[in-house]
Parts: sequence; structure tokens; C-alpha cells
Amino acid sequence: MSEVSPETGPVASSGELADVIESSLEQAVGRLERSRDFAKPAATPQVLELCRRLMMQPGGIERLYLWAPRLDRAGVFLGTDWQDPKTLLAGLVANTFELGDRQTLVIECLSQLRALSVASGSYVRAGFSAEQAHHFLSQVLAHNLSKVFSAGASEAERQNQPEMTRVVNDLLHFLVGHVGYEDILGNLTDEIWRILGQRPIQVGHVKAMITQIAITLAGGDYSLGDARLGADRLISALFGPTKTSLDDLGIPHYRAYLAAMDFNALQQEARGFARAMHDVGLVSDYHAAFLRWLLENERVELIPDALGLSNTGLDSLQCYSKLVYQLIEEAIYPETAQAIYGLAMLLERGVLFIPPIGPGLWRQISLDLSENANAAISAAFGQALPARVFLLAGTISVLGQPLGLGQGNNPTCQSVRAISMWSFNAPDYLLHLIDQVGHFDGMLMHFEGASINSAELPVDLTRAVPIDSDPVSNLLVPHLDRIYLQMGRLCADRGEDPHRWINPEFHGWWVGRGFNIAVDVATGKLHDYDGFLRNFFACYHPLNNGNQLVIHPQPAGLAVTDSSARFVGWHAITILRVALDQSGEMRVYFYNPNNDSGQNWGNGIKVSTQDNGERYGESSLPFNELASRLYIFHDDPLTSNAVWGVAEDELQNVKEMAFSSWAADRIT
Amino acid sequence: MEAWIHDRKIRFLNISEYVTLGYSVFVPASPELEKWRPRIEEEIEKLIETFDIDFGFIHPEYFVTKDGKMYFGEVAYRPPGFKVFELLERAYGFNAYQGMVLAFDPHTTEEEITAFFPEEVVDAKGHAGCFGVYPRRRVVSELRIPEETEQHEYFEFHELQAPQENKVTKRSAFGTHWGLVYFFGAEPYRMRDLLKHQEELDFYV
Repeated sequence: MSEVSPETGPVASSGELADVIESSLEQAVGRLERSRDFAKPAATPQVLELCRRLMMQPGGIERLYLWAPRLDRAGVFLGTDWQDPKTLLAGLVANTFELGDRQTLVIECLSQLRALSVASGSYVRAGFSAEQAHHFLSQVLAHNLSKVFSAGASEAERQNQPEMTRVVNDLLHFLVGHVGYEDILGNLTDEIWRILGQRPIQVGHVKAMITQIAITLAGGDYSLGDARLGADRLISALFGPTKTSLDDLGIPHYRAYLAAMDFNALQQEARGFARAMHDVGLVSDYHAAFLRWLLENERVELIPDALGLSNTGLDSLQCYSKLVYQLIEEAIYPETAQAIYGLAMLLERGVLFIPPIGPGLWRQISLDLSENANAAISAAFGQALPARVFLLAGTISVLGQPLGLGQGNNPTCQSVRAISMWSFNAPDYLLHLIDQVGHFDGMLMHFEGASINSAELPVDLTRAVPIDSDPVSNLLVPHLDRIYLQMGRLCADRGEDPHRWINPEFHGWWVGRGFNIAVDVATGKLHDYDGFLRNFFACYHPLNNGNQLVIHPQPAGLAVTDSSARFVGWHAITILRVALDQSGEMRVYFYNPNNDSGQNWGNGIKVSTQDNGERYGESSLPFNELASRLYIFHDDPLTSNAVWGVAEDELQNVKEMAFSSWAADRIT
Repeated sequence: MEAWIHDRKIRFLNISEYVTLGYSVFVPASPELEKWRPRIEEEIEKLIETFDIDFGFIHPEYFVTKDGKMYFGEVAYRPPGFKVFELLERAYGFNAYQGMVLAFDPHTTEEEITAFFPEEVVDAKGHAGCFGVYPRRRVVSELRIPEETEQHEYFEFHELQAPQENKVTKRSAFGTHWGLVYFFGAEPYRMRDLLKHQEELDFYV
């Protein structure tokens, strides 16, 4: 050992320690580089552990940044989800930072540093351009704004990895130093406008992001560039949409101002609120205070202005004014302000003219919630208002915005899809279900003649009650899930896909009784795929079906793929319309119960949510692209006659898109 | 210890120093133990004769008593446990598994085999050791690397996982540790003391 000089002192100073760690890292990375691909997973953990230790040293992130390209080439990401950087989704990073285990966190940090190396031009990587890397980083930062701009850790992070929380914050600040503030806020603003373009019912997270932007802009001199205008509109819509509320005085002061206003000024307020609401899709707390004030002070003649109603909406309001005023009084508070948008859309949809809706809503106004229903809703929405208020406000939103429902973190898309479909097509039935569950803690359905009562079915303990969805889903989904599972049990031994029997009975009479599936259930391989596609064109494509429109919403199943076109899983959607968009392209417009429908399904297939003829909440794809991801659809066997055959080249085009993605290993 | 044998000759002989059997080991051994190397070589040559080994690898165990006697324990025809091969790679930089393949292959030439193995002890870049962690408490809730270990310049990395259950089952055998902690450093006696000292620390609390 003569060539090694003895070292002194039990603990090295931090700079020296970082040197020592780097020399260990040199060895470990060398070993990883020498390993063949099959052996790399065994050599990776020690590299990650040393990276973690290096990052925890003062200046460690700067040091590790220089290692990033070599670590990537050595194969530290091999076989992980981070292997191909162009497929990474910026929206997932925040979750990893909060909940990932030690190793996952380190990989995530390394992935960010790799992206920074590519963005800065110091590392060239095939298939991941500097622009892509830069865009990815600014999106990551936008999604982690609270960490970028504040030092405090959230409770979830604190619980998980206290020492890693500091590293993540340091890393984000290091990234900001290179990427710049302007891009982040601009990106975030675009993202919020995109989400709001889908008019979601649940806007809590959007409000949180806008609040972050508002705090940031108020607290510092950040250049926003062109995005400034968009950001200002979002902030004003939320915190001060009108002349009088602009200064964000607080509701008691605001009400005092209203008392001193003349009619013209009040009308200006009303129109200001309506403009902001319909423009952005967000409702300010002041808007709720204003509506309540109008009712209390007998200024109801301004309600149409405050809701921004058209002739149709105004008609609804005038025919059912007593009911609408009652709904405002019972359900519209600053805490439930977002339901004002739902109320306006409910009036615009004209659903009040369906005979059972009026009495159904009156029934719900006086609904006496059961103990269980009370507890479930209060657990999710808090005690600020009684549970029945949240539920009524939620019902108004769902009736007004059937396509604004999102499944939250609930894994079952079918139940939320069903609620959306009923709100869209059978709103009286939805009110009936809310009443059943809200009061009786049970839901009664029939399957092939036998009755199924959710109250008698075992609670699936593996599923947590969803607390991040809207009040109606919160109440109904656990019951719908149980019934859906029970129907599945009843046809488990039939050797075919259970949706054949469940879909029509679960949703309603309008679901086509014919059932088409692209795969063989036993093998998972494609089965008569040509016939499947031909029939889909014959049933749904207006140029192949005698120009027949989609009349009722139809459940359908998709093979969802990720941004690399790899199969992710089966997913339930509703086909709403098939129509030409403004550029003359035939598109399928559909409802996707995922919270954010703008998804990248790979190979250039990107689900569009606006600018291609979509109505609020609709997703769309060109007909062939949707067909290439479809695996289940219903048709009506009496009326579907495939007389107008699909052109052979169209069919080939669809098949190629399927074969190069989810169906690649299912070809028979 | 481990011996790589090619053409009836010892090509590399490693002596591992077990600080506490079942808990910790490091390579190459301290000079105190290394002074036994000539005696061990004699013993291994006896094993080569007895088992008539032309090409291969053996992993014998000897115990040294206080009165200076060496006792044969057992001999195995397999790689050793406690990641000794990985420690050798860390200390010397060669892959001990590749060494086995070379030693077992009669077609490996004299040049190839001599070029592959370094000279014992002299060619080592330092001492590599590892410590098998076994929780000292009966009930644990989380993994917490002791600060003095985490900050020690010899500490490299660990393979410990967060506990899956709170109750610690009774230690039943060697090798049932919860994971290994790896060290690397220049001084053999500091390494020995450091490994010994780990036994007094809580990695799970």
C-alpha cells in the first residue's frame, strides 16, 4: 500500500468529501460502463446512491451536472421510464418529486440534469433536441412553481424525504438559473388557458396555479413577455373581474360598495362578471357575493346580465325563475362560486324544459342527506358549508357541464363516463340516482332481469373513496363501481368481453345492442380486425353510413397509447358526434373522462381539445386516427347495414396506425 | 480466501479479513493477517495436489488461533459470499468473475492469465469493505443512515431498503442481514475499526 498516503482526521470537510464521493463515483460509473446491458441494472444502484450523496454536498448539483452526459451514455437510465427523454411527461415530475422513493427521486434529478445538458448544447443526444429539452424543462418548472418560488415544503414531501426535499428545491433553483423565469410563467399561462379551454368542473388546481402566478408577479419584477396579457386576464377573472371588485377588497367591503351603486353601475358589474366567466371559464368569489346580493336586495332583473344569458337561457330563467332563484339561494356561495358557470350553462342547455327536471331539482333542494352521504361529502369538501350545499352546487355544475367531469384519481373511468352520459342524455335519471344514494345510501339497477342494489354489495376495500373529484362523482362513484363490478361478476364465466352485456344495461336503452370488439378475449390477439373496422366505418362515418349522425352518445373502448405509441391500457370514452371540422376533415368528437383530455398518443396522434370544431369539454381526433385506437364499439343491429363500404386505402391507413402502436404484438 | 488456479499454479490469491464473522469483511487484508500469506499458499498447494486441480477456482476457509496455529475449515468450489468479488473489483479494478472464466478455460494462454491478474496487495488502490446491517432494535419504523457514517470519507454507498414491516425477526443465520453498506479507503486498520464500529450504530430506528 506504499503508494497510498495515509489520511488524517475522522471526517473530511465538505469540499473534500465531495471530492472523495466523486472519485468513488468515477469507479462506480466505470463499472457501469464496462457492464453489458443485461448486467447494468446490478451496477446502477450504487451509481445512483453516490449521485444522491454528491447532490447533498454543498455545490454537489453543479458537480453532478457535469456528470449527466456520461451517466446517460453509461446507461444509468437503461430499462427505466426515463430511457427515452423525448417521451418524458413534464406533468408527472411534480408527483415524483413529492412521492418517489429515494432511487426514483435520484433518477428524476439526473433526468432533469441530462435535459439541462442537452438544452445548453453541451450534450447532443439523438432524438432529443436542445429545443425539446428547453421546452421540457420550462414545463417541469411551471408544474413545480410552488417549489420554485417558495422555500416551504408541502406536507407530503416533508413526510417522505426531508433531506431530499432540500435537494429537489436546490435542483429546481439550479434549473431556473439556467432556463429563466420568463419561459416558466409563459408556459404555465398557456397551460392554464389550454385546460380552461376544456371547461372542467373541478378548477381547484387551476385556481392554485393562478394564485401562484399572481403572487409571483406581485412579489417580483419578472418579465413575462407576451404572456403577460393572458396571465393578467386569468388573475383578474379570479380575483377582480369587475370595476368594483378589481382592488380585491374582501366580500364585506364589496357588498358595502354595491349598496351605494346606481342601476347603471350595477349593470356594469353584472356584465363584467359574465364577460370574465364566459371568457375564461372561471368564476370569481365576488360573482357569488354579487348574485346573492341581487337576490337579497330584489334586483333580480340583473340576474340574466350577471349570468350572461342568451335568448335561450333567458327563456329558461323566465319560465323557471322561482326555481332558479331558489337554486342560487341554496347553492351559490363564494365557496361554490364555480357552480354559477354551471347554472348559466344549465339554463342555456334548456334542460329545465324536460318535464321531470324541475320537480327533480325541487326534490333535491329539500333532500335530507344520510349520515354516510354527509360524511363522504364533508370529508372531501370541508365543513365550511353543509354537505347538501356542496352536493346541490355540484349537481348544478354537472347538469350544466356534462363534459366537464373528470375522474380525478379514481381508476374507474366507466363510472364517471356514465354520470357524464346521463347528465348529457338522461339528466332526470341522474337526479333520481343522486336522490337514491344521497338519502337511502343505495342505488338500484337491473341486470338481465335481476335487481342489483349497491347497498347490499360488498365495499371494495382496495379502492379509496375519491376525494379529488366533484361532489356528484364523490357521492355516486363508489356505488356505481360496486354495481359495475357485480355485473362483471355475473358474466365472468361467459368467456367473452363483459362489456357486451354490461354497457347496454348499465347506461341505458340508447346504447346500441350490437357489440363489436377488435381482439379475442382469450388470447388478446386481433380477431377479424378488418371486419371490425369496416363495420365501424359503416356505422359511424357519415360518408359510409348514408350521412347518418350519431344520435345518442355511445360508449366505446380505446386502446390508449403513450407518447411513444406503446400500449398503456384500455380506456372508456363516449362517442358524441362525427362531423367535418372547419377545414373539411372528418373528425370524431368524444368525451374522455380523464382530467386533462389533451393527450399525446404517439406516432403523431394528438388528441385535440380546441380549435378543431370542439365544443367545450369535447376531445377530437380525425376519424381514421380514432379508429386506429378503437377496440370496442356498439352499433344497432337493426339499422346498421354496411352498404357503403369503406375505401380499401382508408382501411389500410387505419390498420397501419394500429399495427405500429398498440396492436403491434397482437397481429394474427 | 479465494484462489484462481491455472495450469496447477495459483494465479491470484485473495485473503479476506473478516472483522466480525457474518457482519463485516474487507480486502485486501491488513498486514497483520497478510503475514500468513506464505503459509496459506503452502496449504492451498496441498489442496491443488489433493483434489488434482489443473484449472479452476477454490474458496477455502482457515481459522487462525491465538497460539499461532492455522486450522483448515472447509473448501468450496464456488464464489464467496458477502460480495467479496465486488470488493475485489473495487480494490483492484479487475472483474473477478471474468477471472474465474479465464482460470477455468484451459485455452487461456500464459500471457493472457498473467496480464489479467494484478499483484496481490501491492496493486490495490485501497481497501474495500462492507458491513451487513442487522437492525439492533426489535421494532423499527424507518431507515436512517447514521450521520457519522454518511459523512465518513470511507463510506461509499449502501443497498439498504426502507423497512417493509416494523417487527424485526430474530436473527437466524449469517447472510440474513438487511443489506450491505460499502466502504473504501486507504488505511487497513482504520477500515477495520470503522467496520467494527458500525456494529454499535442504528441504521433502522
